[in-house]
Amino acid sequence: MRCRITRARLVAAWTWNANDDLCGICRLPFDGTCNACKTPGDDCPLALGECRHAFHLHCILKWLSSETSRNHCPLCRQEWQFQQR
Amino acid sequence: MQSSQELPETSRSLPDAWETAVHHLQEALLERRHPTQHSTVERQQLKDALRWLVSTSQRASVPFCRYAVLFLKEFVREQVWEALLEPVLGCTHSTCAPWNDSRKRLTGTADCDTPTSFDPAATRACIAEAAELLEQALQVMDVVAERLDPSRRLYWRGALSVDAQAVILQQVTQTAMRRLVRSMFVWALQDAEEQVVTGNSDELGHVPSQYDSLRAQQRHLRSEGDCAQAVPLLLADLERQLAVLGLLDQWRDLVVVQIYESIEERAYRLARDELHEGVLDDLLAWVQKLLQPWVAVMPLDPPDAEISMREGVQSTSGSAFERKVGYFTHETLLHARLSQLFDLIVEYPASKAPLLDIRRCLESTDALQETTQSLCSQLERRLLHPGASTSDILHHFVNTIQSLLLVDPHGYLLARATTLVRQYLRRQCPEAMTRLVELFTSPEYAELFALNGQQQQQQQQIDHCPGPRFHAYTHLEDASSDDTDDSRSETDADPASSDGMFSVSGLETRGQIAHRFAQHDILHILMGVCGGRERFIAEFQFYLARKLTTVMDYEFELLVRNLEVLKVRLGETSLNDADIMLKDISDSRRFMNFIRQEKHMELDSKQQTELVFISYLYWPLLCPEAGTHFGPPERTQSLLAPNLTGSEYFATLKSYAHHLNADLEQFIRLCQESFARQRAPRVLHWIPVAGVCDLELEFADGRHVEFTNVPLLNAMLLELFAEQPRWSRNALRQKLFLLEPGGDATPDAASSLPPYDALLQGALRFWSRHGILRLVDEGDFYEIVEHGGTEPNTREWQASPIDATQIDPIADALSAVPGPATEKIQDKDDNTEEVIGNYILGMLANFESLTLERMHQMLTMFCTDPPFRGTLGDVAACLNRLLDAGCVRYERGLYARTG
Ligand SMILES: [Zn+2]
Ligand SMILES: [Zn+2]
Ligand SMILES: [Zn+2]
Repeated sequence: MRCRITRARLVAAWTWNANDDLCGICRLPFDGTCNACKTPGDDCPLALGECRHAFHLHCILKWLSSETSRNHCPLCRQEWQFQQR
Repeated sequence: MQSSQELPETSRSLPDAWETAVHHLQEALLERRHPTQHSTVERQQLKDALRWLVSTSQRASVPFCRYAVLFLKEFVREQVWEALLEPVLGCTHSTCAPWNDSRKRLTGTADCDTPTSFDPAATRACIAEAAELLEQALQVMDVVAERLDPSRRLYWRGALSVDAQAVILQQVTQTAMRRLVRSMFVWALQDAEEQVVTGNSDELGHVPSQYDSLRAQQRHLRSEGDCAQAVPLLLADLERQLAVLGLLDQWRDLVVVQIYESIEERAYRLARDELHEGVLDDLLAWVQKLLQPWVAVMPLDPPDAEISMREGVQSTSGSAFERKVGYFTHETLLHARLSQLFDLIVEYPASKAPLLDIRRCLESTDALQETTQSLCSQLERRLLHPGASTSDILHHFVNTIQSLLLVDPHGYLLARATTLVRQYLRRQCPEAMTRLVELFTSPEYAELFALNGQQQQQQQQIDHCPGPRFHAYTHLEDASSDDTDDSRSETDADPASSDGMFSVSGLETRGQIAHRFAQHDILHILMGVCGGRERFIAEFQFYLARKLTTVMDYEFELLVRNLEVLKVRLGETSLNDADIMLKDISDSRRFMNFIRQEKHMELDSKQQTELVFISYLYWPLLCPEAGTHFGPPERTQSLLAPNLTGSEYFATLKSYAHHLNADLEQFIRLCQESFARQRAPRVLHWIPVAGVCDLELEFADGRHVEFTNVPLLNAMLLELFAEQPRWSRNALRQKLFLLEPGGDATPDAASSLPPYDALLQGALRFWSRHGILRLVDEGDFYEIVEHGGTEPNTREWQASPIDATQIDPIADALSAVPGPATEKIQDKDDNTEEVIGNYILGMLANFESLTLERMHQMLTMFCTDPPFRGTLGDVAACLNRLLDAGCVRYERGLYARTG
């Protein structure tokens, strides 16, 4: 018998390549969205700090804009710097 | 009132024979025996005694006379004319012969129901004769009374004449009445035919052959003159004669009865087999013609309290009689139409006109309760039974909704039907929601569910004007959003609460609003009966996932349209997940276009391979085996969106990893690299088991077989057989799932491992069903069937590729996981499965091939001793065993016997 695949569709799942599964601020998965968003992926991206902590971009921006943050990472309290890629 | 002292003195001149008779009479009087208690002989004696009394001018005493009259009256009832007249006149009397002749003509006309011999002149003569007859009868009474008791002649005459009148009324007048009303009928029919001649209607085509004689009669009438003139003349005669006879009151009742009977017959005849045209107008016009001559002679009735006519329903200009007849006409046609209600529903929308007949009849009568009962019993008898598939039920229910809204815009009938169907589906059809989504997404129904902006606007307006009228709809809405609250829904649909509907003024406008509202809400109603809005949305997502991952060619635009319709209906937010699923697809497509350009050279040979990457948290659970699902999600292992996130999920994916051929391996790698570069810091993980492909197979005997929509795992399995024609189950397991030889997991770890055996068994069964693989060496080895061209069917196969999604998804899903469904049947009875197996083989011997669902239906219907109560899963399990045993084969959704 000869067997030939003429057409195929493979399925894959995308995920953010981060150290953690959940956002440290909203505790929701990175592969979903922050509280404010509806569409996952590039519309609600991941933000990595120099301290290697990751958050939803929208979550960390909201945090940084608050008075209490004093521009610190909410997890390690180091000064927050967006990681440069 | 009589005592022994008053006993009659018997004359000495009595002949000896009469002594006994009179003696009997005296005894009877003493014993107060009822005349009917006499024996035949005694009666004869009594008759003779009477005759003797009359002929000898004997005077009898009062009690005797009284008794004799009582006796006579009994005979009047029993043997009318004989009893009344023979004792007095005897058959030899000279006036008797002609009298008897006319009597026979009048009373002996048993053919009065079939007016073949109808003749206005003859009828008139008969009536005259009847009057004469009665007059004669009364004279006879006089004679009798005179002889019996001259002083109270009038009294006796009266006593006897009442009975005589009853007889005449019953036998003569009624005959004449029937004839007269028939003549109306003939006349109205004639009129109808004249319309046929001028118009194009095939009215007479509906007249059954039994009316041929009527038509002949009617031609006869036409030659004689105008029936419309003849009838009033007849009526006038009759009126006069009956007035003389003192029967004026009764004859009117008789006329009414006759008219009603004619209307009834006409209504049923018009409605019979007429499922597409309305007949109410025809019937009303016909009744109008029928009534015209009568109305002229019928006096206006006093206000009748018995039938309270609804205000404004019938024109108030008519007499009470006309209104009564109008009510009756509507009611009768309603009954005729109700008997065919379900047929009309099936015929919808061709049956709109007859349904409107029902609506008008309902508006003119008081029969909503009766209609509801009729509807419910027909739905139960014709729709909600094991012989009807769930798809059929839903299909017909769509028609039912539309039909009932036409019949009853207030929605009361619909609310009742909805409750009934919902209860049945919940009890009997767990897969109802799956079928509903199929129905919703099928192009056939696209138009029905599609909303244009204008309609939507209307709906919003209606949403903002709640009122008591929406009672029934609130109920439907509730049911769709919350189907657990059954008790409340039931009370809402309580008949009593809706009785007031008609009494509210201005109901038409409100009804129209409700109608518009509900018309747009067919989907909501359907969702309600199948388990609610949330379940519908979940099921729709299942459907999308199934289409997108298990079918090579699907119409993406159609899916998008379906989603848009749902967004309008159910709100954007509730369909967010489905929205993201479709976004994933278009995103993937864009990415594939990009990658094809970028990697043109490397991917050249794989133009037909594509990758779909999903936002896994938004996709529903799917069963990996056949890419399908059945039953609650927890029963199936899923790779698309389990209850895991991130690293745990991807670890699970890894454990499911299976063999991929070199081309596909390379393809995946390329995609992953490209994606990681383009979408960093996002990466892709392959989801094993979930892919799908098309296959071309070539066999040693020259057969060329094409498959479409084959699960990727199954294709990879078959490729192994291309390398090596025979495999042991164990070797396949290791090779396919990339397991270490002998490295079987410890029992502890086994629970978290994927069900390799079940997955492998599913793939093997897939190919053996299609006759590509077969079991050898007592089940341990599988080998490829290189020479399988003995069956003529294989030739047909080549016309189009075999669609693997046509594999019985239910049977497949159930077979993959040996769950409660397969064990249950053995618990019940050891023999049951064997019995069912035999039944199945028996059915397949009679029918060439059957679907799983059909076989389940047939078992439920015909397997009665003991009654079959198995689920679809039980039958599927049984079929799978028969498949494995080689007794049954499976092709394109159908099971058939082998050999
Ligand atoms: Zn967050
Ligand atoms: Zn966001
Ligand atoms: Zn940090």
